[in-house]
Amino acid sequence: MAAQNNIPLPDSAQVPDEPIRPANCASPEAASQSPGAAPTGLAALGRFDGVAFVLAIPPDDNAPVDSWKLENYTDVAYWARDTRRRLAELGGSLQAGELAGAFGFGPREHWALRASEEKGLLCAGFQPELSAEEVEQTMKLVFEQWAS
Amino acid sequence: MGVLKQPDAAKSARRRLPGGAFTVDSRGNLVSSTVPRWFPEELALRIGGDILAVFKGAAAVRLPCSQLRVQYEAFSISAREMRGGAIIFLSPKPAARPPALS
Repeated sequence: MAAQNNIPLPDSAQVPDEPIRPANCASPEAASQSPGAAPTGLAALGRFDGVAFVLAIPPDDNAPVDSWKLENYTDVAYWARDTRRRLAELGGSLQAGELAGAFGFGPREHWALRASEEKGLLCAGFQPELSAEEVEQTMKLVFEQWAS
Repeated sequence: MGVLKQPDAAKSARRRLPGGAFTVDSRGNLVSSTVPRWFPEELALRIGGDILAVFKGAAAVRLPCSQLRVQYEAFSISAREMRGGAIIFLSPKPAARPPALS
């Protein structure tokens, strides 16, 4: 009946228990492990001091991204790809060589981007207490472990 | 007579890159500069526009930053956000020195 279709559902019936995710995205906590288990995958990268989140973006734009402790990973993945492309093209125009990395330092969080031809793009967030040098050094270690 | 060694092809193909700093306003217009005059203004504008776009994009995905550092093989760009514009520092990386003779 048409009248039944107009009856509003209670909020609890409209909000799914799990956030709705695009089909091409893995769970944001996909890398999380059961309690007591040694962290593996992206969660293992979170063991480095000061790491707040990790987002791994494969070279194929249609492949799922993998994230750890990042809520808006689809937005960040799109932005990270665009930023990397933009900065790589800028480097090409300047004939400055390959893009080695990009770092942002903010009041709430720092972030870093670094790419591997084989594995894709890694975006990591860092706690704001870290200095610029600490962020760069930690990102180097995180990236090396991820890319190995 | 000595033979001159051919420079590495990739390095010789690279553009000469300057050191210096310049500022851009929130619309990407060049406001002031200490970059040498031989460096094309359109490239400075391109750098300024891309840096402002990265600042804006980061803020849009809730990763706002007031400073940026972009590293290339032979060059690095540092930037500080200033009321929607930015001050941008260009730093060519020094060529690798041969190891010191002991």
